[in-house]
Amino acid sequence: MDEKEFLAGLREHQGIIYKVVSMYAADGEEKKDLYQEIVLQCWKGMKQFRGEARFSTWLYRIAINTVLTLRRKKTALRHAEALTDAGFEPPAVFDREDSQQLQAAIRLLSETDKAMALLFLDGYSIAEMADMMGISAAHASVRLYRIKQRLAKIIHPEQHE
Amino acid sequence: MNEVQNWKQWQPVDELLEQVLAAAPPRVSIHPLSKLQANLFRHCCWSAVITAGYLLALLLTPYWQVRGGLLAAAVFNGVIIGKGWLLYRELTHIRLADANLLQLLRQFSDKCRQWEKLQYRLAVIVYPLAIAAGYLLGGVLATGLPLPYLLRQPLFGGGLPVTVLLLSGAGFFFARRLFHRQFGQYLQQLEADEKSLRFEV
Repeated sequence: MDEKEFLAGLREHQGIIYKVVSMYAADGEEKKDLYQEIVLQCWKGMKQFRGEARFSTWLYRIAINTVLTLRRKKTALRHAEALTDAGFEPPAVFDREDSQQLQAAIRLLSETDKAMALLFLDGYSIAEMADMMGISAAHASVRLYRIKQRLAKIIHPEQHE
Repeated sequence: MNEVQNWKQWQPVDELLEQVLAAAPPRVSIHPLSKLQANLFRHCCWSAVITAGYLLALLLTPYWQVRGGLLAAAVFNGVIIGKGWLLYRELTHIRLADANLLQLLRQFSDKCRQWEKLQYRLAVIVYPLAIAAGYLLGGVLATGLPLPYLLRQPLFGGGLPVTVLLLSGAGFFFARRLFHRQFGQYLQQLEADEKSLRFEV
């Protein structure tokens, strides 16, 4: 893959970088830092990409690995409204209140659970998730079940009292 | 779940990200591992200069006590430089695209701990030897008296262990503080994430 193709691939799948960063960055400054570091790490790994995995999967792996191994600010955002403070625009397809609630709820999960939730929402299988996170498929499956329960509890607390 | 479908369809574009992509490749990494690598490089260079200084002083001094201290300090320093360089080389081979998250969390916390150990070894082994040799050499140069005579003086002889203990202790304390200031919080975060990922629900 040459540099042009690589950049085109990054542009085409930039939504992945955005989604991952939007769940972890505490503010606009951190968002920029994370973007730069992810792009840099992609660049470093470009020669190793041989097309064995989908480009999107490869990018997801780098984005998650970078964000979770980078020193980050401790101030996690607590509410969906605060997303805009961090420089994130609410997505147009997420006009509905419950979809925004989902984003806010994911941000309340633990660091590693956030990554699992993101992968699940983007349609990755249990086996792919387990491979990216470095855990067994059985562990990933149980973990995902707990994450879904936790999200449902956060979004609809009245149904879980 | 309708939200899941919405999420999959959502392909956001961010102007800031576009700017970063337009300026690609970025040159400066803010990753703590890059910082660790820079620290290791500086550490190896400075240690090599200091070791050369020990060897030079060793050649110029006639006293075996000072020579012994400096030689031991230089040998241990050499070993620590070698280990530091190996760690530096290992860090250059880590690619975030090649490993899974758990492996990386383990690798990174392991590398940080290795750097911590290296610092402590330096403080526990090299500092006391270098301080002792420096104390003896300093005594000779300051007074102009021969070392065997100085060592027979209770104040000078008694001052040696006290100086070594105090300065080595201070060296260890500062090494520890500096490490925790630079990597303490980061290490905690890595280890917490690793624990949370390993934890069988």
